[in-house]
Amino acid sequence: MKKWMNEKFMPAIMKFVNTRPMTALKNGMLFSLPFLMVGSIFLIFANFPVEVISKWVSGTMVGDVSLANVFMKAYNATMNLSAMFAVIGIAYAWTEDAGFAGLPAGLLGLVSMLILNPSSMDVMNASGTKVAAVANDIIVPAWLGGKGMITAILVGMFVGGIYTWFLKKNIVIKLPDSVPSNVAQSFTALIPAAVIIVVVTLAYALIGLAGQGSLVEMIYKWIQTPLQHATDGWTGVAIITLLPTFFWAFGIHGTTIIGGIMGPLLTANALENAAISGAHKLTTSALTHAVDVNGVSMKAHIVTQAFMDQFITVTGTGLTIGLTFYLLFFAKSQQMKIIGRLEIGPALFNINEPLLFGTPVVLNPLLIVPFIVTPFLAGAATYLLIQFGILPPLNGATVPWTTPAIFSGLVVGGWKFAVWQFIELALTTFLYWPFAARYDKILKAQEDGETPAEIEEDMAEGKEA
Amino acid sequence: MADKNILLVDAAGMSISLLAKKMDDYSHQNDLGYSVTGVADSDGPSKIAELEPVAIMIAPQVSYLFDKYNKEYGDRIPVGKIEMVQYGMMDGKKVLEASIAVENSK
Repeated sequence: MKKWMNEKFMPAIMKFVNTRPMTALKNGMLFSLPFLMVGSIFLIFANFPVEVISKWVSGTMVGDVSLANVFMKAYNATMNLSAMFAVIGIAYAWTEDAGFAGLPAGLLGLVSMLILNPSSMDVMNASGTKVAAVANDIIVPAWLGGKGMITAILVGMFVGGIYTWFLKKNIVIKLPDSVPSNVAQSFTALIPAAVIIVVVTLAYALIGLAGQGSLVEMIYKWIQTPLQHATDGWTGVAIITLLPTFFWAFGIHGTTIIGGIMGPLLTANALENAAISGAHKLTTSALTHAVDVNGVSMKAHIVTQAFMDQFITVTGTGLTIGLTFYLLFFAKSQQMKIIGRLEIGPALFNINEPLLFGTPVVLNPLLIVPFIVTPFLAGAATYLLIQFGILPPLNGATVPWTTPAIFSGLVVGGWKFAVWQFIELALTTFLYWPFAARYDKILKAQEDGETPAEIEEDMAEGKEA
Repeated sequence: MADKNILLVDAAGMSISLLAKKMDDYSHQNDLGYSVTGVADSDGPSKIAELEPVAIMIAPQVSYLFDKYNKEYGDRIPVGKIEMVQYGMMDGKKVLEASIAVENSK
């Protein structure tokens, strides 16, 4: 079984992870991260978790608008346009990975996305009710945000793929040698751009003919909503808690792999929470009953990017802070003591490779048990606490995954989440303890020069080493 | 003479930077003439172009990247894998020695 895993299953998975679409997805999404994070801060300013301050922010006028509106302006141009960054980033990353200049492809991705988006929307009055008018010839931000995420990924890959194909086949406009190379390069994008734009425009027209509105709306309805729904339940909790540790058990960076695939959906979930939070409507009931945000109806989600980063992989994949505490304060074997001192610094920033490879947890049948069980229990508990309203829904803010615990909890959901993080991390110590103690005994016995047979005997008798 | 560069690659460029620093310190304390940099996979190609390393070392948790780097750069820059326990112990000396062995394997 283990042999099959290492020689057949893992290489197959790795081959998939190394494919160009997966590389482009992973690297392309990175470009939107700074905007998500900076946007988060402005969202929190606009909607401060302390009522006195939030009232002051909404009540203070700056010219014609409130201070909250000023903050929301920055949020709207960053977080609220994440699908735009995604489509540019993915087409760019794909083309760069293939060895060509990526920016023309990135821009072509954005153009395609705009063609496939609706260009009109119903008009709302100040109180949020529809009036009998339609705004035409506009870019609708909602479809360049979380709701357009899956379309952005598909369009980014499509554009990256086609654009690269043209360049590889060398189907570009060729100019005589006497033309300087810089001038010649400016024509490189011409043929692929023309073809892609014609294809995309045709697609828009055909979807319109079929009476389906726009592609982005279709994809949202038929693909993205079911996927988001699946991630936002026990299936999602199981995937993000069990699979990263399962891969790590074999020494493979499972968090990167699962995070790469689930990230766009978890981000889409977070963005809806952020939008609802921006409209001051984020409550437990918004999880089950859709609320209206600027004329768009949406539901809040339990499982978001922050759910994974701040409650499942915090202090490192496997919530290993409990194990680190054991190594630091209670271990008797030299090996564990050394790793404990090595790991405590990185653990504050949610990095635990020294612990995983040094203790090791990787390929260690004893420690793999709590390593896989602990994040699942933590995820299940966090899920239930939010579902039953003991904790509010996460506010959709995104912080770097290296942000230290407690502080990160405070930012992504307020003081209750900071307290929950503290409790959760303290509880992990009990889950790791029995397994760590047993492994510590084995290591100590080895260090004292006992033979494997003697160690087994000690273990069977339950005697102190 | 300027230091020769060794490039380490992992998933996010975080834990690898801890190891890179230890290797770099060890090299400079012992005047071995190497500078060591750790990067995320996504920054790998641009850093390779910038630093022109004499060896590329792949972290164990992303050992699946070995084939990709070896195919792309293997014919001019030797590519090696970092051993799991040495990575875990953040053993700058041993990983530096292993990297030099990879460099000389060309």
